[in-house]
Amino acid sequence: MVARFALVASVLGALALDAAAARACSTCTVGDPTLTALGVGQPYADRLRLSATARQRRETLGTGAEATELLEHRVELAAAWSPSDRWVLSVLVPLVQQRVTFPNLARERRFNLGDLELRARLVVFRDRDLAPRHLVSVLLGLEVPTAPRLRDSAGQTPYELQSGSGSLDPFAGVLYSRFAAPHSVHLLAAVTTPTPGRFGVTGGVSGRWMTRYQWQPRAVGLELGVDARLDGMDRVGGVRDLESGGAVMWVVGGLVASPVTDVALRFIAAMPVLQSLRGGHEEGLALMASVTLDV
Amino acid sequence: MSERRLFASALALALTLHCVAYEPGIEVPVTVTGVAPTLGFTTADGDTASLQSAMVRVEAVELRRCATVSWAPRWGSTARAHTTTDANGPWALDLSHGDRLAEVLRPVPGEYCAVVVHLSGASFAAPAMTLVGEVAGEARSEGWEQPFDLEIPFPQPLAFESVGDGLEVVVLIDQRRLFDTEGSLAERVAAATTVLP
Repeated sequence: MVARFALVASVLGALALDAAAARACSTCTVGDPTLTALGVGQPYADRLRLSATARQRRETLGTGAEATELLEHRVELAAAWSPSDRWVLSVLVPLVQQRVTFPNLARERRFNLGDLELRARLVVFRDRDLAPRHLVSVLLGLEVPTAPRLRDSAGQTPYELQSGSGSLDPFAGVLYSRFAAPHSVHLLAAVTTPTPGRFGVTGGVSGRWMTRYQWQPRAVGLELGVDARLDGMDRVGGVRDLESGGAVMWVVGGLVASPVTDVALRFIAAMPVLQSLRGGHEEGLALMASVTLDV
Repeated sequence: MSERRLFASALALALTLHCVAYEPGIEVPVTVTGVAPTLGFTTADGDTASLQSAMVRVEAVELRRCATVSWAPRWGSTARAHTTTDANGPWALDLSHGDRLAEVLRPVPGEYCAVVVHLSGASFAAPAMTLVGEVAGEARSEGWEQPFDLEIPFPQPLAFESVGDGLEVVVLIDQRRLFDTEGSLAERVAAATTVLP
């Protein structure tokens, strides 16, 4: 609990100390008008971006009458700050609202903090300083188990239905971005290696892949992509859980827009098109809407 | 208020909120018990008997769906007491001393034709059932090593279709009748068991 308050205090302190006035046209600073999601934009010194993202997803655990249905809404508050034109440091705080319907028709509604995510991005290659066409970045991050352990109301809440992993989960990845206005492409490969957590479960190593193409001729653009995830098996008490892990691939489509300077809106739908998840897990349609603000 | 202060306020709110609301679904309390303990009793043959212990070791309790009565795998389409918590079985019950098992099962909607008590001493490195006592002045000590499914049909199927349809189920193993019939201990336990839905 003390650590949690210390974390809160440090995050709030960092954000509240500086109330600098908004800058005009922050993307002009990097010489490229491409509207980017938080974390994949072109960094420049002292750039601060804030975002709020709302997500909805469905997941089914089990099959037939014995399936447990999960409907999850998340609001992710995030801040990304660039101390230089090479580094981007970001923090993401998810608020999670879940509605779980159990096989015996019991329902549980929860609202709580999810696992906080800290991330550092280092640009290791930039083909030119102004309006770069190629950016290669290395990502390092850590998911911190700030989500509370959801107590079992009736002995029905398995590990998969917790709001967080209960463990420190470091991840690393590589991001390549190609900017050629009005087109841009982002490719991301990342691996998460969970550590033993407080639920007695060690999550399986998870690999993620993201491919995004954006066409933005004006203040409104289209976004298309393919995302994929490959999960290893969890370990429960040191033993592999044969009902966990697997692979899933989504086709992603959406809109990106900038109604006013320094504000970017994104609306994304992700439809799982290939699924091979063990244990009767099934991902459903995921929706996302976000607003990103350059301050 | 600046954007940063607004963001900081939202973050502070986020970090302090946490709530859970649970609405129970179909719940069926199941009790496995013997009759009230007695110092002595009379068998069907009129012999005086007493029990030092009548142990049954229970691995799990389940409601069996009507459609799966005959050929369902042992851990098939059933509603079991076992969940993700470690508060459930196995249980060791000494029926002669009034031990009882009380669990809440949470079945999926459907018709259920029987309650099944899975007896096994594997978790205790002991027989599934043991009986120690005295009948007509003669000491008796016996056990049943193998796992044994004690399946007791309901007089009529129990239908659980919606929240609130739960009905208490009591499995009564009358330890006083364990000397009344011939056969193995497993068969005699089965003969002495009734269900009260």
